[in-house]
Amino acid sequence: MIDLELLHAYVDGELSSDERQFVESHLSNDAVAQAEVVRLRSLKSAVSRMAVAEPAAPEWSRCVARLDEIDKARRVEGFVGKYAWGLCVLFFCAILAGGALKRGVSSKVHSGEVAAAAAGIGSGSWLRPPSKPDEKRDWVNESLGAATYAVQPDALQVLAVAKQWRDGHDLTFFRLADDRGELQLVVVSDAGDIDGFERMGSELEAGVINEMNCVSWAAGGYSMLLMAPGRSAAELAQIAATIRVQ
Amino acid sequence: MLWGKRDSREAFERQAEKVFPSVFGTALRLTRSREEAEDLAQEAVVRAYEAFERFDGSNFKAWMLRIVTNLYINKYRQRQRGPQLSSLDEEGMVEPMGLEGEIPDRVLFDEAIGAEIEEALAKVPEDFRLAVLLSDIEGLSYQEIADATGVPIGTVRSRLARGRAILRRHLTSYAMKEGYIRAEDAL
Repeated sequence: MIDLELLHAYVDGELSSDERQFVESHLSNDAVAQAEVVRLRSLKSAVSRMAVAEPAAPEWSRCVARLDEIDKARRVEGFVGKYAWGLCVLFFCAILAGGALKRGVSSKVHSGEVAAAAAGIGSGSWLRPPSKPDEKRDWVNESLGAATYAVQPDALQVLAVAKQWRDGHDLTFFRLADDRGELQLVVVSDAGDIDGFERMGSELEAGVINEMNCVSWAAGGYSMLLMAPGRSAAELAQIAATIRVQ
Repeated sequence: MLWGKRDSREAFERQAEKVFPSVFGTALRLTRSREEAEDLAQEAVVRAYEAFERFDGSNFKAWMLRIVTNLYINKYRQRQRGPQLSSLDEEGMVEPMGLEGEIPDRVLFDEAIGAEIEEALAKVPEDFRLAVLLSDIEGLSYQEIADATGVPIGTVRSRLARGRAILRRHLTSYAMKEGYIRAEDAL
């Protein structure tokens, strides 16, 4: 009796020429084996012919969509890989630009910050001016820095000066006195408008800081704020006129 | 480079679309679940696309079926139910030959429709079924089946013979039940 696996391989066309000759020689003398070959061919043919072909168009569409996603991810990865240095430089520039922008934006002075800065000056921070008039004038001018404004010594007395650095601004605080009492002058560098102040005349603005009326004016990138307890904005404006003389 | 990738995608898609019904059909006959078959076929397509540069250009269908079969064996088979190869003795069963003259199988196979063949195929233990469907439905050679399933050609021969014998038994039972053949004519 012939090996059945040989008959299967014969039907499948998977025999070497020697094996095929052997099987065919055997088949010519074995009717049972011949019938088996017919059955095998019939079964094989039925399976290949009758197996239901599955419609798979929707599944294929979803495969294509998945391939699209893969391609998209590859493109992004390729772009990032290729231009990584460029992206780093761009990112660095964005950081620099952001910093510069922040500086630009922060040129606006918030009255609350001035108030907080003024409140934060301890008694030990105040510097007293020299007693000699010439030295005192130079010292005051030096304290004013590039503000190019002058305090008239015959109208106002400079009692003390303190300095602070806050949120990108130099703040110089002057404790002044006239015949009615003390005033405070704050010179803020790199400053623009004072937040929360309203216009008063052509050059001055008025507002309230630390519950004191305050007038401010600006020129040359500096903001000057003059405030005093118990004084009206109009009074402060008159005093400001004496300070504003260059 | 971009054009090269686009051409590669188009070449892959063109070939994959042609063989996808075979890939999906094989996945369906292995998993017997449309949802799992779609996952399996889709994963096979993705794997093939990612490895397309390494395809040797010989037989794309056999290569895709090899991927889907390997994926199934490695990832999906453990979750499957139904008759497994381990429940049967792969070497032990002797397949009888039919008698000379009367060949009821021919009547049976002519009467059977696709659904019955699919049903009978589903009852064949998995490794045997895989060999039968790769050979008789997908037309792969023994060597290609051996590559796809990771077994020697001798095992492929054996599994095919066993698988067809079991398939024939199930079809015979069906034919007797439906009255296409008489019990005395059956093998």
